[in-house]
Amino acid sequence: MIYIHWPFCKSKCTYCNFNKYIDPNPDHKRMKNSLISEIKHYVQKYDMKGRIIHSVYFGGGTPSLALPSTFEEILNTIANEFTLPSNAEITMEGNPTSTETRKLQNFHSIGINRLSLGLQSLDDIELKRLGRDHTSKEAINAVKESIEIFGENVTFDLIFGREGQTVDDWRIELKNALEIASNHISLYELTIKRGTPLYKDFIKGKFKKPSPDKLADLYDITLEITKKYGFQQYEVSNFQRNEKYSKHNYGYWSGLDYLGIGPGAHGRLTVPSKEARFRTIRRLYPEEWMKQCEETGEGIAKYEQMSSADVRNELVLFGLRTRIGIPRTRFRKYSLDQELEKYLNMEQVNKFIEDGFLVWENNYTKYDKEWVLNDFREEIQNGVLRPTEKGLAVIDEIVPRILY
Amino acid sequence: MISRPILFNIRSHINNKSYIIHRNTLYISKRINRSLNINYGNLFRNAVRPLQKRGHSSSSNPNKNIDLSKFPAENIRNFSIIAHVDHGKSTLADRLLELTGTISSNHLHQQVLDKLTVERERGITVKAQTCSMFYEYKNKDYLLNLIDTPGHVDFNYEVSRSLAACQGTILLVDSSQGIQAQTVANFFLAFNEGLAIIPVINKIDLPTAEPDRVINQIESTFELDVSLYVKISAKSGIGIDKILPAVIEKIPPPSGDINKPLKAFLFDSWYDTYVGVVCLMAIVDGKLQKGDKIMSAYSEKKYEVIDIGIMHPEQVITGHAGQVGYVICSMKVATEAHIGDTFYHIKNPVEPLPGFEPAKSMVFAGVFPTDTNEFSRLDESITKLTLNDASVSVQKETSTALGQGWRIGFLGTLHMDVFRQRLEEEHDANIIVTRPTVPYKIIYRDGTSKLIRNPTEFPDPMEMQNKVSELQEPMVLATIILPEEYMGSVMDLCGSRRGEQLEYNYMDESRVMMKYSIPLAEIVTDFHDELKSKSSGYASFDYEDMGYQTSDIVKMNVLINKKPVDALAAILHRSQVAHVGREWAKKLSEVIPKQLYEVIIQTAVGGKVIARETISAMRKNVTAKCYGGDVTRKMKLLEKQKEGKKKMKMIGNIELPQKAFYDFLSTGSGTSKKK
Ligand SMILES: Nc1nc2c(ncn2[C@@H]2O[C@H](COP(=O)(O)OP(=O)(O)O)[C@@H](O)[C@H]2O)c(=O)[nH]1
Ligand SMILES: C[S@@+](CC[C@H](N)C(=O)[O-])C[C@H]1O[C@@H](n2cnc3c(N)ncnc32)[C@H](O)[C@@H]1O
Ligand code: SF4
Ligand SMILES: [Mg+2]
Repeated sequence: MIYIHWPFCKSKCTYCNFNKYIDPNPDHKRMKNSLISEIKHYVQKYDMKGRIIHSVYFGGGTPSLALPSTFEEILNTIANEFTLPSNAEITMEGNPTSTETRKLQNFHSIGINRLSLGLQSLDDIELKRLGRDHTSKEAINAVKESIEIFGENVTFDLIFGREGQTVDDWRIELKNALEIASNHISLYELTIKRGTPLYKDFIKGKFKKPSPDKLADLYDITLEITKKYGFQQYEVSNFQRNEKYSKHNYGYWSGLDYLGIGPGAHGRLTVPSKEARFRTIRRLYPEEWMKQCEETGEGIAKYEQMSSADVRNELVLFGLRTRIGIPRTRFRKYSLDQELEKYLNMEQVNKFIEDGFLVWENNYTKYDKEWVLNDFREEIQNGVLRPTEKGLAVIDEIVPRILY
Repeated sequence: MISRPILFNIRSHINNKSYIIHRNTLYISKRINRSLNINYGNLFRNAVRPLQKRGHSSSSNPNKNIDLSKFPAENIRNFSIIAHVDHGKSTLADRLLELTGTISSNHLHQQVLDKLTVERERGITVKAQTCSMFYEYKNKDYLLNLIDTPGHVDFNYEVSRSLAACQGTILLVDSSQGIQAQTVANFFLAFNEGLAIIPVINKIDLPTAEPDRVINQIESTFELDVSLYVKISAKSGIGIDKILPAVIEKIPPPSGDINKPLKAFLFDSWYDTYVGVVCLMAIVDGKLQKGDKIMSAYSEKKYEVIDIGIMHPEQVITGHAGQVGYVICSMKVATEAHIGDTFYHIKNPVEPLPGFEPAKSMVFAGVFPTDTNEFSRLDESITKLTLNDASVSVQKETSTALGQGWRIGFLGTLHMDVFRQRLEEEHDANIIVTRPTVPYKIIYRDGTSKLIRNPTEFPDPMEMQNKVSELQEPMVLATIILPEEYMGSVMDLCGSRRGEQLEYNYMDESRVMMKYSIPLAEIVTDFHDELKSKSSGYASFDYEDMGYQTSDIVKMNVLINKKPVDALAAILHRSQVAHVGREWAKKLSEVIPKQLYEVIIQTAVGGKVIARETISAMRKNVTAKCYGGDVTRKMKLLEKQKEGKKKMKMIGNIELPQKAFYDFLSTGSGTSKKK
């Protein structure tokens, strides 16, 4: 898996703390060359020539503002250096402005086969408040056009838990969204991130967060309505129909390696020679990052070995955010053959099982569409520890209690 | 020499509390700390080598070596100064020390007396107001011993013992404030000891001074002969020269006999890092010397006298009847020095002096480390602190909710606050202190009785029914002095605290003295604060022990999801249960964080629920999105959360963070800490 970060945006959204810069005219050529040089550098350094890449993800920032030719060359590089099968998932994030929508066909033609649109809301006043530079009409249009181009492989994001949002407001907005959705949607509760304009307003009291009870109501209704539309919540904020889950994101959660390319990108890779996993972090600022790429071939800022506890905790933490949970097999695979039961505080686990927060599926036999995804049927054969719907809603309370 | 920062901390901590506390805090700090302000390093050296005279002293005593044998009992006066806080006791003591040349009158020294050269030379603080002075009067040299008395009700017993070492006292009253509660309490202590009392009216330099009015108050309140009073200004020095002549004329000399067997009376002690336990003793009869073997009448323990001397910068040795001074003997810990104890030569037992009581804790509280791993470290800290303070009693205690800790007994709540503060600040302790409990008495049918210091010791219903004949609680006699206009509201306050008025008198046209019998339990909480606020700060208050009284007391349990939390139980009077029960349930529901499970908080007496609050189960806590940089942050947070969970106290399914206990117990549910 490869993640490629495009760090530029046209406008600044009030809630966003991603590594992004408002620059209407970035140096496309230097960016392209640097991204390509990082990919090549990786292949060389870790001897990855010809490795199979199942997924490429262009994230941001706003990658739909990049030139299709840039991504084309990148994909070509990947195909040359690695092996890129024709069924690889190649996703791009995009903003639903009309200008960007016009370029979607181009992106599709250079090989991108999945599109993730940041709608955030279908309410124009809300869009303004969030600092978005598109209207709901443009957004709806973008979804329609995308479906025409990318078919089932279109998803979009909405944010709920906005100031003053009522359960009824959200019910209507979500239904409208699901009416036009393809088979995937991401529904995020608005998070107040440090350093954002929203955070400052929150501190000053200008922005008021809905009460915990209200947020719980909004979450409950989200589950209720998506279910009605036939969607399965396969991760806290991600919903799919027809097995159209995001392979790329699932890869993060299930412990796969991924290369992180581009300013501020994070990656995780196993170095077989060292029998260890590493986290990689690239330089944040595009200019510095490019400069370093030009000088040394890659813009790395940090490269650190993960402790075995880190690796295991990550598997537990992310596994339990998905409905499938942590398959025993997977845990063993990434943790030097340690058994999941040996790692967890089973006294606590059993208590949570008894109280309906967790389930231990020992011998999986029948397909239960509430939590299973077809692609994982094999991985779960040897049993999984998974959260119930009730458990998932409070999983941040549960995880620290089941780890020693 | 180190002067302790804690002094200032305590002052700011209890800043706008009653001034009683403010002053007494200083007293206790001094009492506990004074050993640290003293350098005993050269004490032994000085004992064998004459000291050089200080150049700048205006001493009226030119001798380098004072031969104490020149001071037979008739040339000795033992006296103290008793006063309400801030009426000028310290200032007057300083003036007397200057006048007699015991300390320099260099004005720069006035507020930093602790650091006097005499202390450095002699190694003993002269500032601790027990000290000896030499004074020539009508061609005769006198040895005048000024004996310090503690200034807080918490130390009433010690005050009475200090007074027992004197034959007379100066009753010092601020001429603009008039008689205050402590003046009264101290007066009666002195009166009961049969001391000669010299009324001294201070601060006559103030424009608001009303000396005549105060003299009338003294006359009417104490029925005291005021013909020989002295009017002074300790600050400006007016009238100071009349004090010591009055002391010599009016106070009788000690009546001891140097030829009788040794009888020494211990009235104060402290622990010093260098020399160990220092005792202050009055030699009632006989003679005491270095190397003597003595025995405690109370404990019958034997000691050898390592050093003795008087509290004076000049070189003096041996103690004769009538004299007062320090004795350093082979005592290991301060708890061996029982205030009020009598000592005699090993082979020569004598009748001990009356009035001795072993230290009696009046307030008990459970103390627990916030982090259970800190137990053994804090155990050492507590041991160290109690070395300095014999009046603290310590027992180990285990709570199911809070783990291992201690049940500590204090003389009073101020004493407790100071101890707590020292533990927190000097020993870096993170502690939870439970609601203080007074010692209740259980009287059994078979005539036996038992004191309980902990709600967990309260008899269960079975025992109550079958064995207990009655329950009793400690009472105090409270003296409250206040301007007439606040009588109504203060009487309401006392009534609401189950006080019973015993008498009230007008001390003059506008000041009233009221006496109440009040349960001790009612004043160990926030009574002081309330009294001050109900009287705009004008009421003064003091109290003394009044024994036990039958009382309808019950144990109130706090239950969390039906399980009692031992550390939160309380012993209350039945009439308070409804109110306190409701308040506690409410407050707990505010400090306990939401849980994965519903939390039901109940307060109950026996099987009867008084109040109930519920905290509904948490519905949602899950991070919406977690990518890239969030991951490392999330992992770090996870580590912190894991640590935090380990420190939780479990009550069934429910986790109580130590913080909840702390918040609950320190926001006014019983401790006298500020609100
Ligand atoms: N004006 C005036 N102030 C005095 C006099 N004596 C003491 N004070 C002040 O009263 C306050 C309390 O005095 P202090 O000796 O500490 O009182 P203590 O609490 O009884 O020891 C201090 O600020 C002194 O300076 C006096 O004669 N006149
Ligand atoms: C970082 S954005 C990048 C994609 C694109 N630039 C956009 O804005 O749509 C990915 C998604 O994360 C979600 N997101 C970003 N910040 C968020 C926040 N503070 N709270 C909730 N969701 C957030 C938004 O739904 C957004 O579409
Ligand atoms: S939400 Fe998307 S468009 Fe908005 S600032 Fe963040 S990355 Fe850019
Ligand atoms: Mg004083």
